[in-house]
Amino acid sequence: MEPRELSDKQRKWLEAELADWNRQELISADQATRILGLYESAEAVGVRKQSKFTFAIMSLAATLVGFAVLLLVGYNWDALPRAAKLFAIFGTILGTHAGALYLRFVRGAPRAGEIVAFLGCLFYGAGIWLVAQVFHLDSHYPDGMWWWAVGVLPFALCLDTVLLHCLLVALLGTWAGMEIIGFSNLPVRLFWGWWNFPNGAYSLPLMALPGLIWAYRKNSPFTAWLYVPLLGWWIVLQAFAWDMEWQMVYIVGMVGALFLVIAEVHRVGSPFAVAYRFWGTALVAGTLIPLTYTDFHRELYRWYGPAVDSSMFGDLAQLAALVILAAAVLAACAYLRSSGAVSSIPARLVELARRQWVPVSLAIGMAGMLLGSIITRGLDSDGAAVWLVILANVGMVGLALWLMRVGLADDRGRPFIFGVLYFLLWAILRYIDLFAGMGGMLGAALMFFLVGAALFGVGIFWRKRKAVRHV
Amino acid sequence: MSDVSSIRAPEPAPMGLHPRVNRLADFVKSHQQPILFAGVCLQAIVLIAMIAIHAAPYLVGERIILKVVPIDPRDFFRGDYVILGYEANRLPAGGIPGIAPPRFWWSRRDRSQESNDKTVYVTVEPDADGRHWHAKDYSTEMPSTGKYLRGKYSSSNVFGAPITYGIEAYYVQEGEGQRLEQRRNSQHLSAEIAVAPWGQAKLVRLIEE
Repeated sequence: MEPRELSDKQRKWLEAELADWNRQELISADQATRILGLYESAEAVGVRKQSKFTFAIMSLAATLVGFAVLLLVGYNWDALPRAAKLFAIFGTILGTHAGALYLRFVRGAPRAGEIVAFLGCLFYGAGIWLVAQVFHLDSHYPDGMWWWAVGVLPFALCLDTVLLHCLLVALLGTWAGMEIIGFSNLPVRLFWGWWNFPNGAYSLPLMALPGLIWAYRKNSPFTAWLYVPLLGWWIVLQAFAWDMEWQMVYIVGMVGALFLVIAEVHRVGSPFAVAYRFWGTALVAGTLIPLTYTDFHRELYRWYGPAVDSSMFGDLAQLAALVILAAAVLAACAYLRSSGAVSSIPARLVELARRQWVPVSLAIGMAGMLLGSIITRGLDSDGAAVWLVILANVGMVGLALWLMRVGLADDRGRPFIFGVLYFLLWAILRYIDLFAGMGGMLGAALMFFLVGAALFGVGIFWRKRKAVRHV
Repeated sequence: MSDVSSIRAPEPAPMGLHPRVNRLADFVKSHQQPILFAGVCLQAIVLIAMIAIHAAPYLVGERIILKVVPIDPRDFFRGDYVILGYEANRLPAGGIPGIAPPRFWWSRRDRSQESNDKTVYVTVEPDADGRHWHAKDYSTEMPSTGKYLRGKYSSSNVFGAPITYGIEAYYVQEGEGQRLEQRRNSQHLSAEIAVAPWGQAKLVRLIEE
C-alpha cells in the first residue's frame, strides 16, 4: 500500500503524539513505528515539496514562453513571408507535441511531458491567431478562443496535473464573455424561417463538465476551485444573453444559493464543498447587501421600469425557466445526497429542503423578490420596495445565523467567523441607515464598541470551545 | 500542539460518481496514448481547415479593387491592425428589403435587432475609372448573375459599418498601422479583394495611391 501524504506539521504532531502514547504505555514502540510507516517519511515529504516547486516554476516558464510566441505572432514580421510563418508555427506545434509524447510514454517523464504538452497547446493558440492574421480574419473572433479550448480539452482530460485545466478554464471563461457580450444573437433556421435565438455560449457546460468530473476522480479540490466559478460566470452571463440585465442581481443571488445547496450535498469536511460554499456565500452575501436598500430598488425601477419595451409575460416566462432550472439542480442534489430510507424524488426533495432549509429558502426568496419586482415594476411604488427590503434583511440575518450554525455543528472556524462578521456588517449597515442621524459621533462610538466587544466575545467563545473539544 | 482536526487522510471522491461516468473515465485513462495523439491531430486539422476555408477565395476568386473610405472618427486604431471601411459597408439610402431599419439605438429592444446577422448580398460593378468597383444593389437574396459580395448585417454598429464582409481589418507589422491610417483618412488607399464565386471576399493587399 502506498504511504499516505502528510504535511510537515501533521507529521510532527503525529510523532509527538505517538511518543506520548508510548510513554503512557498505550502503544508499543513497534506499533508506533508501524503507524508512522503508513505515512510518508520526512524525506519523502521533502522530495514531494521540491518536485511540486520545480513543476510550478517550469509551468510558469512555459507560460511565459507561450506568451512570448503569441507576442511574436502579434508583431507580424513583414520580412517573413506568409508561407514561412505558417510552416514555422505548424512545425513548432507538431514538434512540441511530439516531444511531449516522447517524454511521457518513452522516457517515462510524465511531469516534463505535461509541461511540454502545455507549451504545445499555447503554440496551438498562437497558430490560430497567426492564421487569422495571415488571412486578415476579423469576423466572429470568439471562434478562435472556442477552437483553442476544443484543442486543449483532450490534453486536460488525459494528463495528470491541473496545468491544462487552468488554461482550459481561462479560455472557456474568456470565450463565454466575448461571445455573449459581443454577439447577442444566434441566427437559427426553423421551418418557418430564420429566427434570432439568444447567444448563450451553450457549449460551455458540456466542455466544463468533463473537467469537473476529472477533479472528483483525481481527488483534486483545487481543480474544482477553477470550474465552480467558471460555471457561475456562465450562468450569470445568461442574464446578458436573455436580456435580463435588470434581473441580474436576483439571478446572481439564486446561483449563489444553489451553490450553497450543492456544497451541503457533499460529505461533512469534504474539501470539494469549500469551493461551492465559498463562491455561494460570496454571491449570496454580496447580492443581499444592495437589496437591503430602498434606493437600490428605486434605481432599478427608474432604469428598467415602465420605459422598458418588454412585456411582463416575457419576464415571467424567463423567471419560470429559472425556477425550473433551479428545481432541476435541487432534484439532482436530492438524488445524490439522500438517506437510504427515502426512495421517491419528491420525498428526497422534502428531505433536502428540511436539512438545508436556509440555502433552499434563500433560493426561493431570491425568486420571490424577482417575482415581486416584475409585478410591481410598472407601479413604481415605494411600498413594494419596502417589502423587498424587509425580505432582503431577513435573508442577510438568516444567512449569517446559518453560517454560524454550520461552523458550530461542523467545528469549522471559517463559516462561523464569516457568519459573525456578516451579522455585524448587517448591524452596522442598519445602524447607519436608521440611527446615524440621531446618534452622531457618540452613537457611532457606542456601535463600534459593541461590535468590538462582540468580536472579543466570539473569539473567546471559540477558543474555549476548541480547548474543550480537543483536550 | 498541532491541530488534530487538520489531519485528513486521503479520501475517495466525496460524491460517488455514476458507474457509467467511472467507466468512461477509466476508458480515457487506459487509452491515453491514442487520445493524446488524436488531440494533436485535432489541433492540426483545425489549423489546416482554417487555412483551407479562408485560402479558397485567393485560389479560385477574381481580383477587384475597392476604394477605402474614412470610417467613423469615433472608431479607434488598435495598434496592430488597420480598420478599413468601404462604401459597401454602409446602408443604402432606401434601405435593404428584408432588413428592418434601426430605430432608437439606445432602446434595449428594437425591431432592427431581429435583422441581426442576416446575410446581405451586394452586387458590385466597375467604376467609371475602370479600375475600382462600387456597390450597385443590396439584397438578402443571392443574385443569380454578376459579381457580388456576401456580408452580414448588424444593427449595433449602425453608425460605423452595419454590413461587414470580413475584409474590414488588415493586419500589419507593429508601427506600420498609423501611416496606413493616415493614407486611409486622406482617401489615398484602395484594397485589392479576392472574391470567390459564392461571394466570400478576402483581402489580398492594400494599394497606396
